[in-house]
Amino acid sequence: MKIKEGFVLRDVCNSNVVVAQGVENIDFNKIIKLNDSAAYLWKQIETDGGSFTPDKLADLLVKEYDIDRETASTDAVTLSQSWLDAGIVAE
Amino acid sequence: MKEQNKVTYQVAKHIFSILSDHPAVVRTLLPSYEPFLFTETAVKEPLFLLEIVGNLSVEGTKIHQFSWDDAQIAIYTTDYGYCFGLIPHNCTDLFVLQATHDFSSLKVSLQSDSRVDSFVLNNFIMLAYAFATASKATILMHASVIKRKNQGYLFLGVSGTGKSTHSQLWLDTIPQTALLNDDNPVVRIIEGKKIVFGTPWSGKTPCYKNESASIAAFVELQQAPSNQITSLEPLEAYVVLLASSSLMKWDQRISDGLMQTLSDLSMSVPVYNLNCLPDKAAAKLCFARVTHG
Repeated sequence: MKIKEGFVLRDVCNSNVVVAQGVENIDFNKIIKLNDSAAYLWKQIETDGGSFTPDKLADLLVKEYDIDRETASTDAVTLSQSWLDAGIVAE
Repeated sequence: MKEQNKVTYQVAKHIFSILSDHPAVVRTLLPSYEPFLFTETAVKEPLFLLEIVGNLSVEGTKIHQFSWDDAQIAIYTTDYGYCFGLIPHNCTDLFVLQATHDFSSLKVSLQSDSRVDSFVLNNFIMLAYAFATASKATILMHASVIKRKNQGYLFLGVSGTGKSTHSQLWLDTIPQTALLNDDNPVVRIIEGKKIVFGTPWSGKTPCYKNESASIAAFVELQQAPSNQITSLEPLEAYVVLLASSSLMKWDQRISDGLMQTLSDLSMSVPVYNLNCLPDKAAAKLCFARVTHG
């Protein structure tokens, strides 16, 4: 999967929020709030060129947080799906 | 550049000049700007200089097209910045605005139909103002504004919600109120103070006041079968303010500037949602809540 062009993480009202910039997203008027761990994953993906898989997210979660692999995998799949549903990442 | 060919205005403490061979004509094209005429000579750092020239043509690569106040506008990127092509509704003529990247220097071509020229020049100045100020903690908002005891109350909502109607209800119901602007006020943060300013742009209501007020509250209006007011959390407030701002998000510098200003505003100024009927009870409920916390 890949972060869509123009979607960036910003600090809005002391919250981590994904917003749309650029002419391709002119009609995207939502903002997507991320919790701390989702924001951590988003930043890691950004620095890594924007592409990711749920597996890679699970690796990052296990590395950063004190959770088991199975929980991390479930969370990563759920998060990826919710980003897809929100329209901020693409398959 | 001849100083006598310049007409200078000040809106929300931002100064800008229009340069033309016929400055007297410029003033007649912009009657709503008269209260904002700036006559002091020492102008430091004007926001922008807009020059009226002969013919200009559209240049560059088209990136976007949108409707804006009874006109179609297309935006092009060019070597020097941006180019705008504007076609007024009920008109086939194309008008062109060329702007540097930072919108500090602009050129516009007009024709000789004063009614159309007036419309076109006014819209190009609004555009230039919105873009040039975005990185300066300034936002051109879509709102109707009531001023009372030097406090400003901004009513927001999509067109047709009843912003002007609600303002009128305040005027009819609450003492010591006055209309500051009915369509496009300017909101600024100056040294931490949140201030709303009257402008030459007030929609269908001729209310062009060169005055300001300290922002007391934003109220998002929604038509409903009964009156109810709730206060919004900062992030909800941000989304409401964002929807009422002339956001130019295709330019990242402009977009980031506006986001910062809106974020500051939504954390420091009360923002409410008012479900309301167009009645005096709605104005009384709103007034009681926003003036007493």
